[in-house]
Amino acid sequence: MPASIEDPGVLLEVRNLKKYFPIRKGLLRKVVGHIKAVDDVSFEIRKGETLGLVGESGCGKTTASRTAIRLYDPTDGAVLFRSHANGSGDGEVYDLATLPLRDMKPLRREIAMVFQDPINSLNPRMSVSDIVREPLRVHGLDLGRETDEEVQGLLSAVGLRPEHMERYPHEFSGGQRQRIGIARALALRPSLILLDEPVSALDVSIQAQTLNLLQDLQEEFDLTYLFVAHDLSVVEHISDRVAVMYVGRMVEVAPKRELYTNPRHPYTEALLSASPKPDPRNPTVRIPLIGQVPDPSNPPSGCYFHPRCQYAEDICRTETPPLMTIGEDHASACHFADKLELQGMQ
Amino acid sequence: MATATLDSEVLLDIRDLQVHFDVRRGTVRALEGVNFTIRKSKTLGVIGESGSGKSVTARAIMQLLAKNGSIVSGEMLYNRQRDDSGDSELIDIAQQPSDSQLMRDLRGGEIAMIFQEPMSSLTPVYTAGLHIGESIQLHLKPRQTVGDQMAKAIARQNRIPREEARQIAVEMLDKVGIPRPEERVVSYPHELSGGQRQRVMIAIALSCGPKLLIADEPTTALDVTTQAQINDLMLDLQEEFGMAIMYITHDLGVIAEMAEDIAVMYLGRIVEQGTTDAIFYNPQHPYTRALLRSIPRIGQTEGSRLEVIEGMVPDPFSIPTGCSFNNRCPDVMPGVCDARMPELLIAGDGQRAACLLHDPDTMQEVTRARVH
Ligand SMILES: Nc1ncnc2c1ncn2[C@@H]1O[C@H](COP(=O)(O)OP(=O)(O)OP(=O)(O)O)[C@@H](O)[C@H]1O
Ligand SMILES: Nc1ncnc2c1ncn2[C@@H]1O[C@H](COP(=O)(O)OP(=O)(O)OP(=O)(O)O)[C@@H](O)[C@H]1O
Ligand code: SF4
Ligand SMILES: [Mg+2]
Ligand SMILES: [Mg+2]
Repeated sequence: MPASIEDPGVLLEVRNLKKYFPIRKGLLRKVVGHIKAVDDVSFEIRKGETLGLVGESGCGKTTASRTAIRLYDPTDGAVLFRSHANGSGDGEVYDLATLPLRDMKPLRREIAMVFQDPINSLNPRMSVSDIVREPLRVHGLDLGRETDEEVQGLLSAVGLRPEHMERYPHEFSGGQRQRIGIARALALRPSLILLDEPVSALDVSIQAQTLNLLQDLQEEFDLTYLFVAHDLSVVEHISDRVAVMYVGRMVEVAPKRELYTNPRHPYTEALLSASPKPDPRNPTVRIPLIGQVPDPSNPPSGCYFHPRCQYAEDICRTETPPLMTIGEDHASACHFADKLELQGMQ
Repeated sequence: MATATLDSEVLLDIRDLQVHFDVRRGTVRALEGVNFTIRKSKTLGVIGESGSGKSVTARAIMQLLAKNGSIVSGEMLYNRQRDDSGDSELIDIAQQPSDSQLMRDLRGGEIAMIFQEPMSSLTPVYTAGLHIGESIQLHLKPRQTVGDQMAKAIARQNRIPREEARQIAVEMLDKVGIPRPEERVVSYPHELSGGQRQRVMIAIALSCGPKLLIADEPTTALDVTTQAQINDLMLDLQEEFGMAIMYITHDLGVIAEMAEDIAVMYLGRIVEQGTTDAIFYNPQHPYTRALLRSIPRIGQTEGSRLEVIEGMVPDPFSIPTGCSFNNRCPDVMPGVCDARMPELLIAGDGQRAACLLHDPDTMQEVTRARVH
């Protein structure tokens, strides 16, 4: 059974979320269609866990995750967030999708974001300590000297030294810049952090350092992560559960071991088989994926995956399979989820 | 002409290659003695951290270094086969001026390159003042159709009329798996997906039937699914045309699938070269070992932490003395590794590693010193 926000262990529940971008044409910028970047997506994130979000480029990972924290206004759907701002207990649940923006501001403190690109996401004209204290300033929490110490503490938590405080972003390597971005995200003591491809631009060895750091911080600060990435081995390493998106929809969600060893959606199976294994003696047997990712402004009928699916039958062309629970904590959006024998890893 | 000889199965032998760049702060010693060989019809994978010199090596082989760069010393012996007679001649590419007729011929015909997407390079890209050989197209231009650009490049490479080149373009697009190629040649680059654009670049590179294809991170900017298609395609074409590939990547998974041999670079040097199997199952250099331990592996990292290589790659102006890995090496021998420079020596399963732990003379002295 998927958990819902009624369960106090759930921090965020996204229900039937949609985000459409208008396509405009001509002098009058008339709307001629919509890119359905996120099209009826539901999932939940439990307190203290890491939910990994994977899928091909353009499938809507960034849009879904940003809409889920109201960085984008949703076209439709609910985003139920459990706030612990007012003391202890089970907290209070708000629908971020419909909350007036002025009421959003206090909740913003509880949700932070780390971007992919450590170079462009930091203001080059601000020193490291100014970058990290910026969110505190915006929320009227900059207390001068006291905050200095706070900032120093944050920087040392991410492995930067006090003498780095007055330097500027260009004086740092990619991995160090990503640490600055992480320190900034921690400044307001959030409970939820959206990490959008946080290690994709980093070198292998720096990637390992950063992943370890994220795991340490999660424990130390009791953090919940929504971790977006396209590298399946990175996602497997860091996540508790993994969600797979395809053309704006969620096609499978399961605990990571289960998803990787026992996939129940043909797209997940193909994705896993395409992931290169660092083991020359045991190469993966590839499931061929013919054709391109469909255009989200003009998706195929029925199951969006049917034109590329080797198991597709007539029903797949006409009926859209909903995301259904098919086992303990495992959901798949395939008409044949419980009939197919799919190949996982190991 | 080079006097050295090469094993007949070797296509390219790089010996002690040094490349320097002049910059305002001084000299960047980008390559400090690179040694490796590429076998005919085989794939050599080149891995190593960002800035270790992978792209510079590739450009040196093409004689396409940036204007502020120069080959200071070393040899790049290319075993050129005469198709008609079966004889071969040995050319030292390091001695050929970039704009010489011979280099143009090689670039246009026998050695082709697919360049790294500027987006996917982790080091700053130096585009200003690049010697771009007239037969080389770096990237597709936005305002010309794919067919026009392909025809132009193919006509120049193969010295054939434009119309004939257009025909070859369509055939090549079909070969690299682009559906309905007759329609595709009239489309513009932005109408193709990233994977399709990379296929077009491969089609151009292969149209002249190269003996060596240099692929510098050809799939880094692409999805795993597209990456798998492109890599499978390169393996198929290699089988069909029998070309050797120098495949540069950061991705150890990709290299395990693609390469027969692997060269591992660190700070402008090859620290280990051997068969893919030896490098993965019996790595000898501490850097190679650390690199292999630092990647997450599906099914093997449950609840565990990744091992990290401590510290960072030093900047090119403060390279440590002795073995350049000594300040990060878990097996460092103080007083030894910072004092002498390791050479590539046979170790493990027949591979070569540049580590003093594998240098018998050094180790003998170390043991002797310990005894006394
Ligand atoms: N601001 C926007 N305006 C219009 N279309 C957009 C906008 N942002 C995203 N899109 C479109 O929505 C779809 C989903 O994009 P999104 O960036 O969410 O994908 P993604 O899964 O994060 O991809 P990637 O792996 O490349 O980051 C794409 O078709 C994209 O072109
Ligand atoms: N034109 C140039 N001028 C000065 N330095 C340069 C120039 N080109 C390359 N370098 C330097 O040479 C070194 C090797 O660079 P190279 O591009 O070969 O690295 P790489 O291994 O390909 O890295 P990446 O994995 O990021 O592509 C780096 O220190 C780089 O800064
Ligand atoms: S619903 Fe049909 S087309 Fe879609 S994944 Fe399942 S079998 Fe394939
Ligand atoms: Mg994205
Ligand atoms: Mg490079």
